[in-house]
Formats: sequence, structure tokens, C-alpha cells
Amino acid sequence: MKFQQQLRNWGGSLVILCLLLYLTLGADSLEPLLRPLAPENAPAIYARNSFIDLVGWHLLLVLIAISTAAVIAILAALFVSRPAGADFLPLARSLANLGQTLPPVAVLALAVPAVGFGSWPTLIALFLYGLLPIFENTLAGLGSVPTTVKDAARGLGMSPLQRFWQVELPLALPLIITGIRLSVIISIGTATIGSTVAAKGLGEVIIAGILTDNLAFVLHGGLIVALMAMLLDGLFVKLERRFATA
Amino acid sequence: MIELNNLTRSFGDHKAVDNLNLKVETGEICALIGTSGCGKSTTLKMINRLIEPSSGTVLIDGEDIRNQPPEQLRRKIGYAIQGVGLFPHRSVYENIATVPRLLGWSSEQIDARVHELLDLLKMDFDSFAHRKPSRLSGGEQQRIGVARALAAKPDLMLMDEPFGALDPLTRERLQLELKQIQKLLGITIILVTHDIEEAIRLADRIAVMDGGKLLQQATPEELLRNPREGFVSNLVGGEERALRLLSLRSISDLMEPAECFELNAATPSIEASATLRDALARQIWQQSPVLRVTGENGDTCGAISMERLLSLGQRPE
Repeated sequence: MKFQQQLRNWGGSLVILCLLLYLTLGADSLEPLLRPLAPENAPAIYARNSFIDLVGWHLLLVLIAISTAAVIAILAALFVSRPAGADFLPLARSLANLGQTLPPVAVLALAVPAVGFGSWPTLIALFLYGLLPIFENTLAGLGSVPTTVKDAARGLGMSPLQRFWQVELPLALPLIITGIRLSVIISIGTATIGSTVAAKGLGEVIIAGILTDNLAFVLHGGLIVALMAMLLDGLFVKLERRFATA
Repeated sequence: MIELNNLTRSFGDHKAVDNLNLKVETGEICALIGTSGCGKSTTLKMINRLIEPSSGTVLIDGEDIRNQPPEQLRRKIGYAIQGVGLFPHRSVYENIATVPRLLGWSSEQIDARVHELLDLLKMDFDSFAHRKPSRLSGGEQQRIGVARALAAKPDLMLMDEPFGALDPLTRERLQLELKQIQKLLGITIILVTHDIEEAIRLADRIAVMDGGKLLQQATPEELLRNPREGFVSNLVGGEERALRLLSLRSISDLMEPAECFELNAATPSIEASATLRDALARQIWQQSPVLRVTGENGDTCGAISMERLLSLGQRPE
């Protein structure tokens, strides 16, 4: 019974993880499969960097960009949801919106002259792009705490800090996690274009494939990116459920 | 004793509560009644400083409530509201333990108190303590709300339409339970309601408010017999007042010795603890001008006649 339940809970993620590991580590055995898609005399498997390194770099970029975005977006949302910060809500909201409206490609183009080639432009683009979902979801989460619950917390004699840590934050948490999940998923995909300005990541496989008309590279890199997004999506959904109240 | 002295609260130009004076004796249930927006909830919230008065004072046992920080004051006063506001992410146990934890009770003390309260509310510890509020019925949630309000053994409990969202049957049952618990613990309750039946059923004293002003305060019986003209007399209901008066007293107050009547085996019976209103209803239903009154053990302990009931409900001269 217990095992079956665990299997149902984790089975999907496990399958995706296995596929992901196979595509990353078992590159040599994939050769015959991808061969028909590659042009003649061209390699079917990207070999300039090891896939495991590329996955690592890719995830590291996303991790750094989104954790920074999360800290700033959550703090900003907390601030504007307090009475003292309410006046800043429109400003914070339009800044977060601006980050989302600027296409990441444009951000890259603008950032390169300022910070040079490499990982920095990508980090900036992912960071800006990740702010809005987390900011808005944190606001929505805090706003979704029922008034009766907040009234009761006050009436029972909780201090403002106690109300925040013990009532508001735990109840807003599932929606905050949803926001982080959205940002992570978006930026896993978006990080691929970072390779156009020499950020390390799976984008370089896809872009190399496009430049040399090598469909095998594009498919291989694209699949790994998609599987990473699916895997993280599944794990975040589990995290949301873990903190859900009902 | 709770004293509200010249209590006023304005929001802008609007006076939500206007120069209100009210005394509630220790161990009493006082109902603040009125239509929505009459200032009854604002008045209640000024007692635990959820709203600060514009002017006037609130004294609890002679001490001005402004002498202590609001959080500390609130932890000493039970608070139960419409919609309950249980913390959805916490179990029944943790909800009840909220105020004792804030007060720093030991876990043994808290454990004992939670057991005691669930016992008091006739809820089984094992089946309820570790449930989340979403897995409780409306009536159960409201009971837990009351348990949470009572957790730190307050002498005073404030209730803001606590039974408003419940179906009539559940509401009536919880009202009876509340009354029993209040008697048992000897606490003072100030209750906000818009339901005159609820006020009559529960309260020792009813304060009628309209437009931020206190129009009349009296015992339920006094209020029904001599309501002030206008709002109060509309509120207590014209003709129906007679039935409400009957509902205030139990049969044991008014019954006569069984020997005064010729009772036989076919005479319908009623328990002595039922209200006079119940007795009249049964007389009409059974078409019997006299009822046999039975005690707890089922023995005949008296009789009650329709004539006597009718005379009690009559309009005052």
C-alpha cells in the first residue's frame, strides 16, 4: 500500500529524472538514434562541453537569478502589503511589470555593452523576468488570507510580528511557491538564449545546432531543457501541496 | 464588572458610537442588539482595544483598560466572532492552544486544558484534536472557536454574532450549550447580535442600540413588557411579544399542584424544564387545556393550565 502510494506520488518525476539522466550521461549510446537528424559528416552529439557540465551551468544560472529575484520580490511584496508601504504598491507593481515587458533578448542586447559577454547579461535578464510572477503571487497570497482569520489573530492578542509569522506567511506560502515555480520554469527556457552572449548552458547546444543546420543538436538540447522544466515543475507542485492548508 | 463610560467613536464626521454608558455585572450575559451599522460591533471592539474610542473610558473591575498594552489585554479576554476565523493551517488542538502559547504556558498545562475544553464541549479528543478546521462542520468549527476563546480561562468573553452563520437547529443547540458553559464557569459574556430571539434566549441583560446610541437596557422580561416606543418596541415585536415572554420562563416557575386538576392517563405530559411557550404549543397541538408536568425521573410533579399561561402573556396595562 505505502509503496504503491509513493510510486504514484513520485513515479512521474522518477521517469522524467531517468530520461534526463540518460540524455545527459548516456550521450554515446544516443548516437545511432540522433544520427539520421544530423547532416552528413557532422557529429550527431555535441562534444565541445560535457552535457552534465552544461546542465549544471544552466541550473546554476537559473538558481542564482531566481533566488535573487525571489528574495527581492517577496520582500517588496511584504513591504507594500504593510500599511506603511501601501503607498509604494503602484510603483513596485509597475517596476515588476517593466521587468516582464522587456523581452529577455532586448535585455541581453542592452546588458552586453554594460557588463560584457558571459553569464552576467543572462543573469540580469532572468532576474528581471522572474520578478513579476513572484511579486504578484506573494501579494495575492497575502491578500488571500481571510479577513476573519486576521481579525481572530488580532483579537486573540497576537502581536503584528506573531500574526505575520504564524498566520499570514504560512497561509500565503503555497501561492508564493507557485510564483517561484512559474519564474523557475520560464527562466529554464529563457536561459537558453543566454548562450548567444556566451553564457554557459544548454543554449549553446541548441544554438550550435541552428548555426550548423544540425537538427540532432537542437533536438538533444531542447529535450534536456524541456525535461528539466518538467522535473522542476513537478517538484514545486509537490512542495505547494505540502504547504497547502485544506 | 465592565463599565463603559461616555464612550464615543467617530469615523470622520460619522459617530459610530455616541456617548454610550453601560454597566455589565460580573457573571452576566449582556446582549448588544441592533441593526447592522448601529455601532454594536464597534462598541464590542472598543472593549478589547481592537478599536480605540475617540473619547470615554472602559473599566474592567474598576481598572482602565488603557493601562495595559492591547495585546496583553486581549489575551485575558476571550474573543469569538462570526465566521469563527480558525487558523486553517493549524489543527484543532493548536487552534485551541493559541492564547495559552502566547502566554507561555507549559505544554503539560496546555495539553490538560485542551482535553478539558474538548470535554466541556462534548467533543471526543481522539477524533477531533488533530483535525484541520476544513474537516469540521460549521457547528463544530464554531464550538472550537468558543473553545479557543475560553482557552486561557478568561473572566470575560466577547462574542460578535458567533452563531450568525449556522442553521437554526445547530444555532439553538449551541446557544443552550453556551448558556450552560457560562453558568458553569461563571464568566461574563458580552455578545453582539441582531437576532432578538438569540438575545432573549441567552442574555441576562439586553442593550438595544440604534444609530450609535443606547436606546434602552433592561432584562429580557422588562424589555418585552415595557419597551420604549419606536425602535425598541418594533424590535421586540408587536403581538409576538406575548409568545416571547412565555419563552423566558420554565414551566416549573408557574406550575400548580397536580391535585388541583383532574388528570387521567390520557392527559398529555411535558417536562418541568421546558419553557412556558413549549407548554402552550403542546396544549394547542394536543387540544388539551391542562398538561401533566413531569420531573427529571418522569414522575408527575404538577400540572399547568392554559388559563394560567394566557394570563401571564397578557398585555401590560
